[in-house]
Amino acid sequence: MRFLLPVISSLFELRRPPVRRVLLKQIYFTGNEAAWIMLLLGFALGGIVVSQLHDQYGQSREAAMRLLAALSFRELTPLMVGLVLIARSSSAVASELASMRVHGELRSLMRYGIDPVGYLVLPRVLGMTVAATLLGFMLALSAQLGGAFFVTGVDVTYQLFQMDRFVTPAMVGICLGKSALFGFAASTLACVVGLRAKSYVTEIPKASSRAVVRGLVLVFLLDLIWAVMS
Amino acid sequence: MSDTLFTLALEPPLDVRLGERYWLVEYDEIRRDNWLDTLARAGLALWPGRVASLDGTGGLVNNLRVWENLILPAWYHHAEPLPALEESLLALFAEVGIEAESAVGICQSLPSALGREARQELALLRAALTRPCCIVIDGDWHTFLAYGRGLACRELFDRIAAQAAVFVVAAYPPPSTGFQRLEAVDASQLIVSGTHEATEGY
Repeated sequence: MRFLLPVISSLFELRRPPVRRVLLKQIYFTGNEAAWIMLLLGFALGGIVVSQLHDQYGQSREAAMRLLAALSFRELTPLMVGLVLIARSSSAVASELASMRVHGELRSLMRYGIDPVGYLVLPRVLGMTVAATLLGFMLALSAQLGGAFFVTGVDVTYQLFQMDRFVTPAMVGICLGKSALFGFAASTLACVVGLRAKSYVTEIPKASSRAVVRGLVLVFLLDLIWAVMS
Repeated sequence: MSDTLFTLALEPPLDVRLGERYWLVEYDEIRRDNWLDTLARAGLALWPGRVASLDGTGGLVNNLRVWENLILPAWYHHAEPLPALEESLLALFAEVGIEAESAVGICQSLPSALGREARQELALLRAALTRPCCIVIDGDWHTFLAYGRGLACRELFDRIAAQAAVFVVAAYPPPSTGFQRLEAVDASQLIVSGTHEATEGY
């Protein structure tokens, strides 16, 4: 909480063009560059889940698609987004910030009066949260597409037009909310770990590793808390 | 002036005038960095967005292109339009004898691809672009003015230093006259005690 308050209060920093530039770059690196991976993972996930349900449990096509929607929108998609984000972006952010600290770049920025929370932390946290939300929705849709493809073959039009019967607004809300929460948690943790690194070069890989391990623990704990509370 | 002895108030308002130059000799590297931080903070309280820092290694951010590094403080604090910043930047490159074509090449590179001297030179351009009222200088950077590319930068440095309060924190005494002597009383207090005698000139 001690770390979150400055981030929230520094939202005003978004009025500065360089901060908005870092924000857009973060959305691009976290969101756009991971989009193809997410589409592929989602497609594979949909296919795997549907084939398991269909073959092993003898579900009908419609029941399989309904279960897939519930599983992917409520649980699998946000968790997978969290995992991919931690693997791709958290480690990068933590090592980047640790490197800036080790090489005195952070100090130099502060001497110029550039607020490290406003310029470095806020756009990364906000960018990863926005990207996670968008990626979560895309992954869930892609999973539905993958499922439909494995259920009906190449002509998936009918199954896709039936999607409004399986997917409710509440499911979409949960998917977006959880993805955003996991993105926010992973990015905040990565920034804290990166900025708290000691001033030795050997701290850079350690920060990266810490961001991944602690990020995984945090995301799974948050998911557990969400499951218990709901 | 040589008999002057007074405490330099580091809390706002910083009691210095533009054009004055101060030099603090500090042998310990960590304490040198801390003094530079303290002086920059004091300067920022009086002149927000008009403090420049000249670090020994240049202080450029390695994951930003050089052009973005150079315009960052001015763009961050004053939100000047990019075409105006680009024009000012090219004028500064010309002032240190770098042609527009070479400047474009340098601007597109990453700082890690440049040598230490080039990064120190670029640090001066970044400082000049902010039109600073206060400049905090690491002694490692100040030695850069004595040789090689630094000689071509001296005119620009003198021009911006004339309009700013300059603080140098170094492990050695100043090589030229004109610097008031700063002495650290404790970790948070500085006194001004006369002027430094020149040691070996550049």
